[in-house]
Amino acid sequence: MDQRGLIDRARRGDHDAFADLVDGRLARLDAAARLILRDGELARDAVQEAMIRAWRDLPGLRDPDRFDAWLQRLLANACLDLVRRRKRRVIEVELSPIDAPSTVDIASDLADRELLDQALAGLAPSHRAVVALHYLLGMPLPEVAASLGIPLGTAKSRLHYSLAAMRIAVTTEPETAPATVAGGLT
Amino acid sequence: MTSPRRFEQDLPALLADLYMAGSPDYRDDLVRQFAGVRQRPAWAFPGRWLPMELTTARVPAARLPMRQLGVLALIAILLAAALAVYVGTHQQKLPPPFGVARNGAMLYGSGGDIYRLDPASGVSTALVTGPETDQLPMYSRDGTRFAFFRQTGTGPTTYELVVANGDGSGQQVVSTEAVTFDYSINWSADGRSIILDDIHGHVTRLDTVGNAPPEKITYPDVRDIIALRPPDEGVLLYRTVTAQGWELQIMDTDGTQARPVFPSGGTSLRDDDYSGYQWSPDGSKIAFRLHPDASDDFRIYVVNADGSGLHRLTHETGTECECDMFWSPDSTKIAFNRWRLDPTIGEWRVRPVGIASVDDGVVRDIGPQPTDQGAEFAFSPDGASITWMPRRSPDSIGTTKDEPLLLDVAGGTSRTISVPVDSPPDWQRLARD
Repeated sequence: MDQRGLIDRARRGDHDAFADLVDGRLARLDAAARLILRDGELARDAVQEAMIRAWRDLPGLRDPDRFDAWLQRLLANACLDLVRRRKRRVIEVELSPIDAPSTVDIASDLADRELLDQALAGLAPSHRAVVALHYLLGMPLPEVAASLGIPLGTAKSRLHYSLAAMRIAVTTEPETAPATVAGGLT
Repeated sequence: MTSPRRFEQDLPALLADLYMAGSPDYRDDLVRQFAGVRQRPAWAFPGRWLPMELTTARVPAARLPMRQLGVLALIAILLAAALAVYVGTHQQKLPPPFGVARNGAMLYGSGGDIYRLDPASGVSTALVTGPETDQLPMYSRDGTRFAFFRQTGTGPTTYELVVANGDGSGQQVVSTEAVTFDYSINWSADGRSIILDDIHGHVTRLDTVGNAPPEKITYPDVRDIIALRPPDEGVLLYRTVTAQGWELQIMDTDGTQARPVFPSGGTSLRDDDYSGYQWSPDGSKIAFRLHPDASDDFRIYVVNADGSGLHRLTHETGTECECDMFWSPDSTKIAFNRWRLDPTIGEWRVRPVGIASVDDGVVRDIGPQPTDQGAEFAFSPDGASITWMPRRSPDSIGTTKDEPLLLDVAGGTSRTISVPVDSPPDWQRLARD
């Protein structure tokens, strides 16, 4: 069955159809949540919260073609809600297990990857959310802004800052990287 | 060294490489979790339920020479002046566009045709018949004409908008583009146009008197449907997004003087906070919905038009979802659908329509227990009655028939309007004696 059919069934209360929708998206959403939150358990909580809210509110989705964007927005907001609720709590950085060798030149070096990960750790969750939605989930920047409830200019500046921090981290010596914005959970 | 462009190109794969860890091991737990959660009723969500949307392609407008335009304008002014003199001596008394009025007839759709019902005698008269599928009639605010939707083509949700005189004569298609889902639609206060708007600030004004091309305007900061302030409709109310999150704002209809109604609630707001906003018929107050403290509660709040006096309408205990608010014509009461979360099973239970006094928030039930979807209801123009019928999904419009109830607001008694309708009836406003 096509996606529209699955969404239509799910919004009429079909659990199996929603489970099918979840299956095709769970890995990417989990990855985005771990990028934003940098904590596997928190990411799991955020994904579960987003999915349950998606299930609960699916009958209100006006345009089935917007399902993915809507789901990603729910996830980003669930992540940032968790951050707000757990303000000031120290989050331990967790690196994901590496399942397969990278096919990307820049990632071929484990040291580079650690530097990139550290650069992301130095960004605020709100900045990481922009990175996750735009680069990991492929959401256009205006939609990122709308999803996070921020002006487009803010989304652009967050992305610009994040890119600069990551680029410098992997292309220069660590001590020349810019000062981090409020790290961990803000 | 990696170039900036190359770095950006590589970043998606690099991030996937860092964070994609295969299918999470909590998938089955997740499926079990949502299997135990009940979906919210479709009608508990923000937005109008009318199945409409106007495609946004622009209509080309011919450019006229200014001299000819001036001559035409002069002729039009002279004709209008002559007409005004004539009408001034023969004018029928019309009701104000907002507020209390006398009850007139009801319009309803049934079986693809449009009927007028005299609620006193119970006699129905067919106004629009024929092979076309016509539905969802809506009186102009002065009660002299009505608009309805005519299904076109093969798509079940594609319509054109037709305007007719009160007796069904003089039918005229006023939409120039396909009408499908998600547009809000309202007659203008002066009855000369129909206003359609979407949640992206695209507003289209359709001329219902002459043959002027649609007027289109886009308000870039608008993120939801607009609500025009009665009675002059010179100010529009809308939701927008600022650096502080969602905010309820007003601006002049020319797009200037945008300002918040009151300070924003901050970044913990949910996507549907400040939604469902409506002006009171006298234009003095605004009602809207908000999750208090980002909870699952969804309550109606009321604020004065100048931003003062913000307060929650009701204080019923329990987790309540208050939706689909409808102001009484005298602006003293609000009727609304409501659901209560049953904490023992985590399900939303529909409750009878509530009617609350704006001054003291005292709420009482009115009408029978609706279906899970809630009820469709509307105050009569005199405010003494409410029409009530079970809410159906848009898919079932035209296939499901209901007999509406007429509820007495003061006494709570009800009587059945014994006509099978497939959409809620719409009241005609008449001038008071």
